[in-house]
Amino acid sequence: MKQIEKNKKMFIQAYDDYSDAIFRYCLFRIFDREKAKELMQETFTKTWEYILKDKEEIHSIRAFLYRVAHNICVNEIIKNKPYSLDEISEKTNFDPEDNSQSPEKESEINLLIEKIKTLRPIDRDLLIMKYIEDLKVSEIAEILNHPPNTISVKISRAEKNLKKLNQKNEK
Amino acid sequence: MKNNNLKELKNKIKLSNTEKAFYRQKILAFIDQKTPVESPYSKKSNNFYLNFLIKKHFVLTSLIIFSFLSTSLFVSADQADPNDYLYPIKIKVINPTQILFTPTIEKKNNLRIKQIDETLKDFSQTEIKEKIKEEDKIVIINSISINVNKINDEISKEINKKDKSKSLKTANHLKSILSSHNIVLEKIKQSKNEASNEILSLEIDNSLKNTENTIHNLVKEINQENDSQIDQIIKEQKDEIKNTLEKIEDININEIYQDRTTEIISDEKSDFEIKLTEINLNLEKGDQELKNNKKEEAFILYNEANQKLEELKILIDSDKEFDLKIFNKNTKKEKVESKIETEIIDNNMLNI
Repeated sequence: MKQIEKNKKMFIQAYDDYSDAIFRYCLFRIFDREKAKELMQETFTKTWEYILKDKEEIHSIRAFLYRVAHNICVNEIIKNKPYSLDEISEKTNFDPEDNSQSPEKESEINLLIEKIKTLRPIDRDLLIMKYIEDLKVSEIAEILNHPPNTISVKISRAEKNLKKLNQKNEK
Repeated sequence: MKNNNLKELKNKIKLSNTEKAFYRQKILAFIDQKTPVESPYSKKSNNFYLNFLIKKHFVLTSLIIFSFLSTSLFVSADQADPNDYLYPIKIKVINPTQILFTPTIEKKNNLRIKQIDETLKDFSQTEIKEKIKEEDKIVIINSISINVNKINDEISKEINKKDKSKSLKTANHLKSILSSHNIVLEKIKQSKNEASNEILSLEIDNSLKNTENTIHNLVKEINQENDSQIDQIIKEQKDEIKNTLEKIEDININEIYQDRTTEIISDEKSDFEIKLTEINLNLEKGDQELKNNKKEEAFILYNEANQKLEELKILIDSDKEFDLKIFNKNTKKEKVESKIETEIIDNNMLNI
């Protein structure tokens, strides 16, 4: 029973630390805020069920949560029809209104989001995990179940692709 | 790569505080719903009881079979005689176990004496019919030696205690049993005309000496008691003698001579009557010493009388049981006649 209490405490802490990150990750896969919140919740509930089964000790709860979120998002995408670019761009409930920033800044960020949306899913995932969530290459490798070298190569390709997009837009 | 903008994305795209709290509650509720309630039994014991319940039929059946087999073995071994394959189990396992479960030292000693008596009876009964295996003889001798030593040790430990009369009674009883069985063994030896039981006889002699030492020490201790205590012990001895005499007198003395003679010739004395005479002499002398206020001497004489009476009773029972003609007649007459002959020869030698 002590172990369950310990696990519960650890799990709640993980929610406090990583719920935003998992939400963001789901959002950049699904592009639906409400759905992303549900998937985020589902990620945590599934993780807790796994912990209760007491099969294997989870070394990195963060990596585990990302892996669960990745699988849930993939299943969700397979279940529903794929989004077209037009549909993605029409989605209005991407993020809550934030009036704290200047309009210029706001437009810069919106543009970036639009660019990220157009990237291939794998490139999007890698860039989000690396630059937004600050995950290490080894952690990304664990989440996506690829060797770290492969992940490094893929990250650099994703960067190149985004750069190309930027240059294209500037032109 | 515009890292600042990406960092800004991180700050921009997140759950609001309300949303975060809302989903936190939902997840907590989920945790409480899913978390199992601790059972009052530990996981380990749950598994134990579960396994026991599953296997209980096997366990119960095995226990019943084991109990049945043990009881059967116990009963069979308890009734075994020398030369039976279960006899060593009776002597080495069952008898000591019975002693182990006896509560007090006095009862243990009484049980040991009873076992010695039964063992020697079993021996005699079997030896009359057939030859006993050497292994069984060794088992019997060892058992008697152990029991006698144990009894004498226990009595010696109790020697400083107040109530010595019980210890004396136990020691007297042991001595009577040993001497009477010694006589029976001698008769068996004579009837079979073989000396195969010398070692057992030697062991009984040893045990007798050991016991006589113990009795001697006890008597010495008792004689150091005050007058009222010696009076009490003498009274108890007299009561015992009276009881044993009554038991002997109940027996028709003629039964001892059944099929041996048609009438008892008055001047032919049997072993039985000689013993009775000796006992009577002891009692008379004891009474005399008591009148002269020599309580210690009186006590010793009464004690000897008590021992001989008890020995006599055991011999009477053995005579009936073994049909060995333990009580011969004419022995004294023959001794007297041979003595006269010797005197005549000596006188004649002198005259020469």
